[in-house]
Amino acid sequence: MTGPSSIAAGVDGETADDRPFWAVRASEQRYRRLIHHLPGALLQVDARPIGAVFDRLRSEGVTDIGSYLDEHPELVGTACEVVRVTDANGGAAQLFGVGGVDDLVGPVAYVFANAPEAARRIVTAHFEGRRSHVERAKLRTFDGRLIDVELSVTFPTPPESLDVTLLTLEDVTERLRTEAQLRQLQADYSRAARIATLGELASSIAHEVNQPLSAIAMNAETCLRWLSRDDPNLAKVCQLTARIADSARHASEIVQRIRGMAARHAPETAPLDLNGVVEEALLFVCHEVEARAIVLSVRFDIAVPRVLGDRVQLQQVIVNLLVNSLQALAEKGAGEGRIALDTAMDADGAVRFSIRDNGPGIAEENLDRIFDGFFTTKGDGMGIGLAVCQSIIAAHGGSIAASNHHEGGACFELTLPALEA
Amino acid sequence: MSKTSVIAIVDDDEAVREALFDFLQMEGLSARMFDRAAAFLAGAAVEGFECVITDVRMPEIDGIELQRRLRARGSPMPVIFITSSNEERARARALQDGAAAWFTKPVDNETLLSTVRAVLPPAH
Repeated sequence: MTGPSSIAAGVDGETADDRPFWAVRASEQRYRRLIHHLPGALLQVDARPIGAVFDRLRSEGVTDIGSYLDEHPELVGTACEVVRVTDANGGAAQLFGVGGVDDLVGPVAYVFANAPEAARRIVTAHFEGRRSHVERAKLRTFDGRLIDVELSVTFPTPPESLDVTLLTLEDVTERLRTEAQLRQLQADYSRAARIATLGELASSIAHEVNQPLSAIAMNAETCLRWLSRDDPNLAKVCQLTARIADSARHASEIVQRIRGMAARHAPETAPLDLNGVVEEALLFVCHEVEARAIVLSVRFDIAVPRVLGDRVQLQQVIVNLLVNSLQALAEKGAGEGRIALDTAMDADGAVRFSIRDNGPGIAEENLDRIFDGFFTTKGDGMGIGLAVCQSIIAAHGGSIAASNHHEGGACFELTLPALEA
Repeated sequence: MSKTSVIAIVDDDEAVREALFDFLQMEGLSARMFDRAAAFLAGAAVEGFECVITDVRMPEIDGIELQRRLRARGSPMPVIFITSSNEERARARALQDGAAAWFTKPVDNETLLSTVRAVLPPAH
């Protein structure tokens, strides 16, 4: 600037770019070429008009955009109209199902037609000065498809050109569909395992349901005989009818419980008391435990924190472990088999459940394979029970382990993350 | 009940036990209920019963074992089994030990009644 043959000049303008015009043009062309040839879908957006609105709001003292939008929801619609797509690439044209990128130039509203909530969150992110924001949204293409996209917005910050907000879109429809199929497959698989477990309890269940039914049949018969007499004992008939009602309710509860286990159900996550889950699981096997005079000891830590999980699936895991223990005790005589259950809180705050039996234990060479799918030591087993237990517990963020107790018998222990401290 | 009980009902299921009791009572047969085999076997009155009606699957001492212990004491008391178990092995064992009858639930009351009357001494 101070050289003898130079002149100093100042130019007013929006941008301070000291590169020669042709260099800027060349650079812009490179940039455009780059954008156009990027494989993903990209929209270049000019968000300055809404930036101006934000400046005005701030000058009026608005700091909490969330509550402002609650009172003025129309601002999101305004943003969708004033913010314009200024350029797009081939990937975007393909994603939106249009002939050329020019069809995409205009108000950004079409991107958010099916996702007003996403638009609102992006407006919020922009107002709060975030650098970028990612949304999962539904999008209607111009040729009528409804697709799922992952939408990333990168807002410019000085000294970048403020007229260039970049919106990248990734079509995740196929990925989401695959994930949903996978979840469905896992649900079907664990349901199949639940039904298999019920199958192993079939004779016990049949006996359990048959008890109230046979009491009902006999009480009804006795009532009829009383009523056909010349001097019917109506007080007795009343008492027996009340017992019939009780037994019917009891039978229906058993059926309800079995149906709950066998039913197709969408996984539901809720805060659960693991002790309660274990108690419910015990209902499935208590008949078997009593009939075979197995000594059951249950030690609950009533202070265990709750866990976040699916009640039916966790019940399934515990019923499965109980059935395994019962089967391990098949050779024991009456009064010799023992099963001990307990719940506790680990030193690191996790919730632990353990089950131990005094059966023959697990052969050392099988300990590493016991959770593998289709691994079984039972003659008629499918080898899916423990594999499903493990996948359910893993999906709950926990772990399950098998071991042999030093005093004999198998021991299974599962831990689940606690919901609250 | 005015008469001494002649029939012992041994069943761990309260509803089943009471239904059978009321049925027999209506037919003029006096019975006493036991919720487990041990309680029945421990009573001094065991020898006073003319007949026992029992389930097969019960905690601790099951119906088969109950009959075996009676026989081991030299008691010829008629044992009638009523069960929802269809285990052939248990049935064969029961009959081999001299069971008077083996019924599968739900039992036909008329048949049960005539069987009970048949095993009781003529006075009943």
